[in-house]
Amino acid sequence: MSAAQELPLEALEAGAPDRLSYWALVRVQFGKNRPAVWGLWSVVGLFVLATAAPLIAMDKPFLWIGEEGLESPLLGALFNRLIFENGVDIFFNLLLVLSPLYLLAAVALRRAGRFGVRGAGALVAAHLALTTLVVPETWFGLENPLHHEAPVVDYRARQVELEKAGEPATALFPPRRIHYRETDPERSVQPPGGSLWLGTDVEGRDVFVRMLYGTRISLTIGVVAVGIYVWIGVVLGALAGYLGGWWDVIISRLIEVMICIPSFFLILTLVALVEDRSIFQVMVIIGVTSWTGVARLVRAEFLQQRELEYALAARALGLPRWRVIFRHILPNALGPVLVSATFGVASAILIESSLAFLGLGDPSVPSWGETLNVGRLEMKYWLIFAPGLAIFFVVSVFNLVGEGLRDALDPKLRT
Amino acid sequence: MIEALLVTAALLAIASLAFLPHAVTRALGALFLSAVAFVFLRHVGGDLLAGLVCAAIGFVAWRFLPGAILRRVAFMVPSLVLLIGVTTWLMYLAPGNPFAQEKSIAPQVEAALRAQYGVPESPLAFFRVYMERLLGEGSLGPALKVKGRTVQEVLLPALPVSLGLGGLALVLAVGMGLLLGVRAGMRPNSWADHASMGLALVGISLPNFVIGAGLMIVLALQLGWLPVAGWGGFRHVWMPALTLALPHAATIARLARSGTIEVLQQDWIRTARAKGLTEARVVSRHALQVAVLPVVSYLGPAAAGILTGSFVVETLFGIPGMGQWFVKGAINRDYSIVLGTALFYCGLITSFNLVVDLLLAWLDPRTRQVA
Repeated sequence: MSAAQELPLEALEAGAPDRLSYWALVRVQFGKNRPAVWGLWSVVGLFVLATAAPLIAMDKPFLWIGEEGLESPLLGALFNRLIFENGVDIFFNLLLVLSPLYLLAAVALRRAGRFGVRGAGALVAAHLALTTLVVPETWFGLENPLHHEAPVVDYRARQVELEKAGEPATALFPPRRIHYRETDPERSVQPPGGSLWLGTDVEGRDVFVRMLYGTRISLTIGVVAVGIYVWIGVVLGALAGYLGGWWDVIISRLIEVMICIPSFFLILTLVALVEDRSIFQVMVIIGVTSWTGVARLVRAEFLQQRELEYALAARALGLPRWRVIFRHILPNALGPVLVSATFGVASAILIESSLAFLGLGDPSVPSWGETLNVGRLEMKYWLIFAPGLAIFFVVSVFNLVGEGLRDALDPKLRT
Repeated sequence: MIEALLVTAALLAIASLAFLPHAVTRALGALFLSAVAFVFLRHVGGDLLAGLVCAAIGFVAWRFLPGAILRRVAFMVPSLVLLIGVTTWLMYLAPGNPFAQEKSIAPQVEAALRAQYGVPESPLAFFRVYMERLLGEGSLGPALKVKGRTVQEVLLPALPVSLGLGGLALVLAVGMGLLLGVRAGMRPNSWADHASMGLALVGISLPNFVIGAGLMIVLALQLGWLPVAGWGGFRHVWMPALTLALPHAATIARLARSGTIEVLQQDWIRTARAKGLTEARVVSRHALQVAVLPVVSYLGPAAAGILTGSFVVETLFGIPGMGQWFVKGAINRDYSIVLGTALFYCGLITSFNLVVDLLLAWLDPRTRQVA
């Protein structure tokens, strides 16, 4: 980032502003906004933290030298669906294991000078495809060979056993030897202290570990929900703005009717009506109810851009309509969408934690809002402040980045 | 399938209202307005009297109300009907029903219950029963999960609670937001500006349940100044109202700040200053009226946010308001309660938005010509 920042700045000082592309200018502007840069690095840090969670807290050792020689139970456990049943965890575990590979690929692409938005996008798409291959139990009825289940071994108990037997095993555990689902009735609602950095909840689960894995849930909720609604909003907004006529009328009315219904109200209704909801259903519900803002933005941009000369040129070339819309105009209309998507991530995270707080979340995932809900019922400060501050931190970091982007994209708005 | 088709058709019908000539939408708006009034009034004064009064209301509305309002009403009323339809459809799509219990009941018993409460097996039939009851008797029907009471009887005591809480929260939000924002905007980049904008960022990023729980622990449990939760006295209102208000106060502060900064750069402010007015008078008499325009247009979304925020805050503080009934109703599959609260919330929010638009038109002559 820093190298990329300095280069355009030098170019600016050299008196060649016209050589900078729009996005390079945006990057320079963004780089000048210190809170926003700090926020961006915090977002990166959060993703790293979410990915590296099993290295910090997990009940399986990295290395185990026992009767069968050297093995790495943690590596196997990462993909064992009896230990990590959630798709979100599998996504991040895969990312953890493959991250060296991705880094190498990124470096190679960068050397070749081809690591731009497309290179990064290709890596993300590859990882998503891989995750969707691994996660489901069956593919259209056929058993998924990548779906991995293995008996769960309690290595901590085995270590104690072997020590008693006088032939201790060498084991290298992560700093916190505990899984986020692990309950312990004897340790219910313990205040922070000792090895329990943030205390325990009602079921005796370690709050620190749940918070750590909760980062994964929050980030995924934010990104996936926003991903869904940006898609819907962009497609509908582009159609309404570019095609006009009946398309515009129907889509605009649809937006107006949707806006009449407050979105949290709609989300709450839908979520309450789904039984045994999973975290993915919550994401989809947030996604399909929140697209109106993006659609309006994109529609307004398209109304403006379609009159410009480059759009006329594209049409005059006889390009098919979808190509004019999605390849020529859309890239120029994406700026405001990017800003609103960044704020959207923050608000999606807030919405999910509110739902979990009302007891309408997915009980099988370690959501921050759920810990807060327990804290409210028990009135214990560590169950409220820890997740409360975590939500606050993530949301404000995304808000900072969003503000930085908004100011960088449109300097007129800066006051 | 048929439901999806009907919903699409209704949507298209509402959309096509936009193509009708002005005179027609005007008349439709007045008609809908008097129809709504009729449904409410016929219980008070009988059919004939109510009919006459409503005809008069309709005529006066058609004759004297601005076209913009009538057009909005013409869209609002069918939209609310559509809302009832869509909510009904969704509720029937959802697994479970209000009469499903842990031990299965005999089909005859269920059929009897369904007949007694007016909840047929199909969403379309339910919609018809519901609309007939709503239009014919002006009644929201019996509550399915609260024995022996109608939805009105359940929700009416909750109404002043929610409205009072929401109103106080809105006043607090506007008051605090304007105070902070205008002061910050008068001296941009001063320490007061940075401090209040930092505070605003915190307010926007903190979810209301965290604020609420934090206030509870600090103000109630540690300091003991206010009661922890519950509803009843004057002292119970403050914490939930503050909780609801803070995020919106933060947004209002930002809007007021940028509004003030922009306005203070205008020529007519320089003129006012050149006349030798004090800075306080320049701001309060000349700048504020324009600087608050973005704040006024935010009032609609703020009211919606405060009302929906009350779902969380009412649950947190154990307040017997509408929000709690909505959450309970949705979880218990109490169809009538869900529909009743949904109607109430959407009706309230759309009418509030209408009022805000009128207010905006009154404050800002520039928007008047469009309407």
